[in-house]
Amino acid sequence: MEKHLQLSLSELSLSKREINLSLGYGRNQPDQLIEEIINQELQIINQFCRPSIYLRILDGDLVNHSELKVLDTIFLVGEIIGNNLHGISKFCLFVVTTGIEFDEYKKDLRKQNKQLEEFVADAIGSVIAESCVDYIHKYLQGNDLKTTLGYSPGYCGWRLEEQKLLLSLLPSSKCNISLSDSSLMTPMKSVSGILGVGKNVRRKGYSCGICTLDNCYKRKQKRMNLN
Amino acid sequence: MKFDSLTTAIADGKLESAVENVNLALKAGLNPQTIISDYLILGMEQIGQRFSEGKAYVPNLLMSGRAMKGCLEILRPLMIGEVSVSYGKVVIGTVKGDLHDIGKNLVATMFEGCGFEVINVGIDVSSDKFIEAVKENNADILCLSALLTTTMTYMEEVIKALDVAGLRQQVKVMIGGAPLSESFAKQIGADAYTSDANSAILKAKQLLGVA
Repeated sequence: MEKHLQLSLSELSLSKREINLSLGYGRNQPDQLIEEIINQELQIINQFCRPSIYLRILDGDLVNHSELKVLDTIFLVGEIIGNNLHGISKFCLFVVTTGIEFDEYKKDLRKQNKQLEEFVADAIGSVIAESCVDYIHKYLQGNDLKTTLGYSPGYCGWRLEEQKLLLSLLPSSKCNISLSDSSLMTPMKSVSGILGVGKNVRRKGYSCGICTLDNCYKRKQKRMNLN
Repeated sequence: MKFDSLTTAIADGKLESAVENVNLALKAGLNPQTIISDYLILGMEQIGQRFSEGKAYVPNLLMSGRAMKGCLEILRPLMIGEVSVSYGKVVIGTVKGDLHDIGKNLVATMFEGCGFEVINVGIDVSSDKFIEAVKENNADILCLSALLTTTMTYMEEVIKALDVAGLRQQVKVMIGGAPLSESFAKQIGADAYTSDANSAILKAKQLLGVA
């Protein structure tokens, strides 16, 4: 199964709470002025941003506790992810992106020295990308497939360099995503990853709950947001 | 005449009020350097303090930074020929292979607002370019930023290059970015790691003995 989806922001139902979390507010609310800037940026971004999702479901299996084989490619996903993909035989490889227009918009804000607006737009971009991943789960569930958590290179012990291998199995032209030598994706607000799928797949744990990496930025961000 | 409302305007991130108060202070005969040192920097320090106490957030820092910049745009042209007082010179950039710059620019803005002279060398910066900037500007601090596990390792190359260029003893190296940590700073021979813009300012002052 292969699917290329192009969405509008309304289809993603972006959460204000997630945007506030991404801006570092934790449980608190931004003051009125910041709230106005968030709304203004959402409105602008809504006019041009058409996020793109490309997904491909392939057969695969865990070679051992930390290596996953999909087609002829072996991913060194590490033990944390390996433990959570044990017993699964179908995998959804995916890439999502806010699109190059989003990068261009942020560049424009920088040129105009609108640092605050750029910061807010960046946070919104992160939430859009994450919401696209949530959309994949919903899409697959709508097709009667259960899903595991999604895992991305750079997290839970899976090295970022493996993004090259992952993208080699996804036609980059579908989403116009390119990768630098340092494994940085362009457009910058893009996420690649893999999730286990199947009729009887069980989702184990919950994001940071399954991982013990203390220096992960997601964990740091969560700590900040709890304070 | 006291201009405490100027300090408050900066701390609250109110650009228009800050600019208005700067013009009033100038009319009252205050020296631009005095306005910066006694009122503006104080406002930035206040918002920094609120941030570290969890009573303000990054957008608040940016709003204060914007108010500060607006005031400096009025004051700097009036200071031509004067010796400006600064805590020190900071060269800041994102290392080679990495294009992330929002966090780095926030730190640069805070440094500038808190009385440092900042040379922002941008993104995807090679060790040669960092060395050149440190040399050319006689920098006191070099700030290196990275957001990727694949690019953070380049920081060690920059520090080694400083050593080879005979500059390591004259410049303090501070690092920052999501995947970094205190232990990584120690491992690569940096002088400090800080996790946010405000703690970067406090650490820089401490390293330079101006805290």
